[in-house]
Amino acid sequence: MKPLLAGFGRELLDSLARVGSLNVMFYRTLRALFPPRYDREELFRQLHRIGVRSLPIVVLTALLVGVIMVLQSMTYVRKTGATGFVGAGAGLAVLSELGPSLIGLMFSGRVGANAAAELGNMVISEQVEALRALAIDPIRFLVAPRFIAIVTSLVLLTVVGDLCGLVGGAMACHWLLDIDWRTYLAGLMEVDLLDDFVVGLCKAAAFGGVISTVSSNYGLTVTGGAQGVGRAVNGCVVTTALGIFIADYVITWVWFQI
Amino acid sequence: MALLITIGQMLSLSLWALVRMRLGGREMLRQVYETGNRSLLFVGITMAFIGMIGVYELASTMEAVLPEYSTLGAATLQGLTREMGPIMAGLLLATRVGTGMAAEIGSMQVSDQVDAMKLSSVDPVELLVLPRLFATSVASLGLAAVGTTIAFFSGMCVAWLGFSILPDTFMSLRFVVTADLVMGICKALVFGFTVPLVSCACGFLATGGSEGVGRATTRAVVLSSFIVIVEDALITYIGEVLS
Amino acid sequence: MRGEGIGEPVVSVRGLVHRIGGRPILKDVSLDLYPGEVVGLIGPGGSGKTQLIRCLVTLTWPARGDLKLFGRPVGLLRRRRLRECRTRIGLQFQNFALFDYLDVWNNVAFPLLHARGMRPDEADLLVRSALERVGLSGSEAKLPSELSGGMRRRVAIARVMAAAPEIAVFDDPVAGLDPVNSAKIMALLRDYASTSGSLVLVATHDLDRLLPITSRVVAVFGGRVAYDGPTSALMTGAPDEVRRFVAAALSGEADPDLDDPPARSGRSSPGDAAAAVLGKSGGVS
Repeated sequence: MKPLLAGFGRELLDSLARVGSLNVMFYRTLRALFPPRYDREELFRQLHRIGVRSLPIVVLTALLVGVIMVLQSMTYVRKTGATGFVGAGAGLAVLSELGPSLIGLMFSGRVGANAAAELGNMVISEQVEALRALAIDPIRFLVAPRFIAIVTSLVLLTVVGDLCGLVGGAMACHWLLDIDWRTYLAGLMEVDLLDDFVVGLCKAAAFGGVISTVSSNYGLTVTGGAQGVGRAVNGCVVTTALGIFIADYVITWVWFQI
Repeated sequence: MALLITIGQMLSLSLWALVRMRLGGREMLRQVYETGNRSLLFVGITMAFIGMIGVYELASTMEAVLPEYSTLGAATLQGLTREMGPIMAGLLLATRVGTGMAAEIGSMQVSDQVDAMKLSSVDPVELLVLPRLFATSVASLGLAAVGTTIAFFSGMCVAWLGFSILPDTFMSLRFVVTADLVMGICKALVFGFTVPLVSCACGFLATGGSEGVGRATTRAVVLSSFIVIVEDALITYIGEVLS
Repeated sequence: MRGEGIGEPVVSVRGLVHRIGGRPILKDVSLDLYPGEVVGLIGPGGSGKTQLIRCLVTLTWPARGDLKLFGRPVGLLRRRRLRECRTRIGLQFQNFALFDYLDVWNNVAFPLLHARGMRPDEADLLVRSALERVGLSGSEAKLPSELSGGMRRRVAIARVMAAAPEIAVFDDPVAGLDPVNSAKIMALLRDYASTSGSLVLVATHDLDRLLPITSRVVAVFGGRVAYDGPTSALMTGAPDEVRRFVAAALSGEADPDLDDPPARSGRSSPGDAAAAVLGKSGGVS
């Protein structure tokens, strides 16, 4: 019983310490954004690497999410006979919920994990120390451009992904279920999609913040060689997934209160 | 390409081991316990949030399409059983367990430990991958079940407090049929099998120091999450065709 | 060229060519190594020593060339035969390759338990004596992460010796070791070859510890064998670049041609050692 409690307490303290250092990282990143004095070339390079290169995986994920949601809502339609649900159910779910959160999850694997590994390697090879020795703030130099690039890319990718998700749904209707895609479109148009689209983008921006903060924090606190980098990446994706769903819940809840 | 070859090799080896029943039961149980234990808290907390979000979203859709909530609970339970429970558990498994395996095996690979095993006539796949492969399949099933339950109950709280739907109205098994349950179980088993397969393959293909481990881990989480989504679409479609 | 070993060669390669990503690492290497020999493998960093070793112990398959181990062509070996072959080979990896989830005892016992199929109590004696020989008795229960770099290297050496392989390969066995221990390790390698009649292949930059224990030296330069012959004839029979390399390494000078700082580590007194070694190996002008 005692070692169990001790283990639990240690875990609890560790996670509290991690939450604290995440907040500090977020605050320092925000402060490093103003005044905007970062390397423009570095920013564009990051935007290309982070945004453009993630496009294929995001498009594929979104298409499949659209397909899955249409197939899933079909079973509900068959039970209740509410045909409008094929378009509306799938469309709303993709725009406001599954699009942003699944794209966010894929993006956190593709980009967040990568950033953590990259920063972790820089810490291990003492490049970050070297920056500090040259009186360059690693947050401003390394983290701030990534933060901007990640948030911007994720929002833009979500716009693209939403579109792909809806297209994927139409494709599933047409080819897999033999429903006229116009029925799907009509169901889609019945509901007010703009609200859900906007809330989806808000979520994407928040997820971007979570991904950037968590990955920078885990990356810059790596200790202990190749194994340490592996552990940091693992911790980073786990915390990001948790953070994404907590942020998702908070935004959904706030949205419903309004 | 090399990835496909590695996955193929591991797949054939593991099927061969399954045929010959050469799996240490004790070691397997330990792995099941460890995998499950390590991910339980994470999966539990995340699934609780997913359940709450799901009910909000589903309620808003129902409000827009059929302006009443009477089927909210039944639809939630059905959606969780056949779709959201397994896929989210699979994605969380890829995140928690998949990256862990890729990191572990990747760092063994770049520090020549895998080669040292080969020289000692130990097949690294047999020693490192097989126990994890079957253990994760079992653990995945358990996690999906627990996660779905937690998500359902957290969703019930939201329905009660946010939409004034009483728990006994919400807790309705009206929509769930055996087919849904079978589909959920199939998905969880398949995800639990492919996530470690892909992640371990990424780990074995790591080259070049700590950077290589980082790359392998990143690749593992992206590929295994993506494959979970692809498989989910496939299985859902097959289920649709069969019904 | 034939060393002082006897009988059939245990390792025999002809025309070995190996590339990594299209870049040639080994170009046409041919070698015969005999049981009971202590062979030194020398050459500047990046010249292909480690890749040659990996090819010899069947961890890397070369692009071209024939490899015979124990008189049998390896390329044709079936899976089971390859296993059999590997149980007779031991390699101390350059970066140790200790299993970090196992303690020292289990690391050293790993080849015994898995390759030889011994029971733990059978292996215990061999493990303890191997650890004692490298001066690490008493650290059986420690994890590799609790050891210093030099101690890990010695555990890796003990792992090879405990299994008593017929081909024992040591990649950098003394880098980073203190002078007392590196002298001890080198003597240990020599005794191992003479008592067990196994082939011992040692790759290192520490030439003034290496040369006294070897009967034969193979120098690899730019992926080719630049010199292969008795140690005593090294300074007379070898091509210019090998002689320059050896002379610079022995005198401890920083030769601008050598991109290899580790060569100077772990040395006690370069001048004296160089004189002693060179006196033995025939002298140099």
